[in-house]
Amino acid sequence: MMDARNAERQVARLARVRDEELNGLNSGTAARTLLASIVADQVHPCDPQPRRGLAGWQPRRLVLAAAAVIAMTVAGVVGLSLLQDGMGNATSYANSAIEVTRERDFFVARIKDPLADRDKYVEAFRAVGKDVRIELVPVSPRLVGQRLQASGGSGQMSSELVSSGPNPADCELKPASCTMVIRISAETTGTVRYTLGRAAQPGEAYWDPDIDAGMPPAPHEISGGSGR
Amino acid sequence: MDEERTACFEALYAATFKHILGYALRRCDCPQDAADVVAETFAITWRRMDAVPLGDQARFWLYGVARNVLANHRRGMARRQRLSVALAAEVADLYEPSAEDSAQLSTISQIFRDLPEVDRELLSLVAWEGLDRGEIATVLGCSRNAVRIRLHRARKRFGQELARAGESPGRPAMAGRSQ
Repeated sequence: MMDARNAERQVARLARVRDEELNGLNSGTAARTLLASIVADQVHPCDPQPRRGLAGWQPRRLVLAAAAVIAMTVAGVVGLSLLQDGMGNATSYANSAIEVTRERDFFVARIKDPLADRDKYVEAFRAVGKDVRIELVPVSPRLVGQRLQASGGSGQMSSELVSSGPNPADCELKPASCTMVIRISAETTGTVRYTLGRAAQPGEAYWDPDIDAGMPPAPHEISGGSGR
Repeated sequence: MDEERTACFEALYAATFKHILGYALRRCDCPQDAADVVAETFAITWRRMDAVPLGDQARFWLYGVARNVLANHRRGMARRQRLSVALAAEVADLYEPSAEDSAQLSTISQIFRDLPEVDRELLSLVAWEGLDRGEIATVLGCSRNAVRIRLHRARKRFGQELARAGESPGRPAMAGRSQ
């Protein structure tokens, strides 16, 4: 007869993975996005006492919330129906490209990397429950930080450049020394797309709305403003 | 309040993610299921943070949640598909079959799979999660003495089935997959 220790040895051999082999996975993109999606799920303080078992749990909504964000890290695009049902209202989210925080009635996005993959921006807004697509295009210095195009959805939006460092900088003269800040109304609904100007790289051609795909802006939108 | 709750959850998530992922990976037949179990377990935990015990006990409590989630999956709640794709992709390579001892492991694996579910879970919690009787009692929500008795029976049944199949009991331990 096999003794107890040998029984467990045999079972241990069947383990396809040990916990030690999973070190660091909790800081991977999928795990972090899952975490963000879970804490974005609002918990109502007036809920009754903690329920026993799973009887009172809402599996569909939670699964959708978690899955929508996880799937997003692969595909970058998730159906709006998932968002409306599954996304909550996290108050902040940050990745290497953007930081989004809730400030009163607005979500305030600070662009940390204007050259980042636009999916990074999408990821952050999804984590706070908004389907906002930001595209940054190279423009002349006077248009940096300005909204050039907008489409879809509803809600208010404004943008500005603020000094990145502790010392004030003239952002119109030195846009590279400044951070683009985008404010989007918390009431924004649907899928909204904004095209904003960023500083062009050396040798990089300026964005031309007549050439690039998308809705041509009205002349006053480019010349006048952005809601700044 | 909300920030404190979120910070507590994030700390718990960081401390237990690999354990819960490991628990799920070792019990699910595909990475998608494992990813779903992880996602659902933490989603439930987030909603029930007030019920999560402190310290090391939290991990055992989470195992209990994961066990319930897994049971629901196994009851055929077909409500996932294409979900948790990224996490599943990250752990997919862990599902590659072991190169060594595959034939013998296959036999042992089959015997193990044929054990009653309660036997499998008890043996797994000892051999895979490394839990003692008191910790298993927390996971299963029963007394330590009940764990002792059930574990004794599980070991006995498993040993008998292995002996019947002619598997040597004394082979060296090889926890985990081959490297």
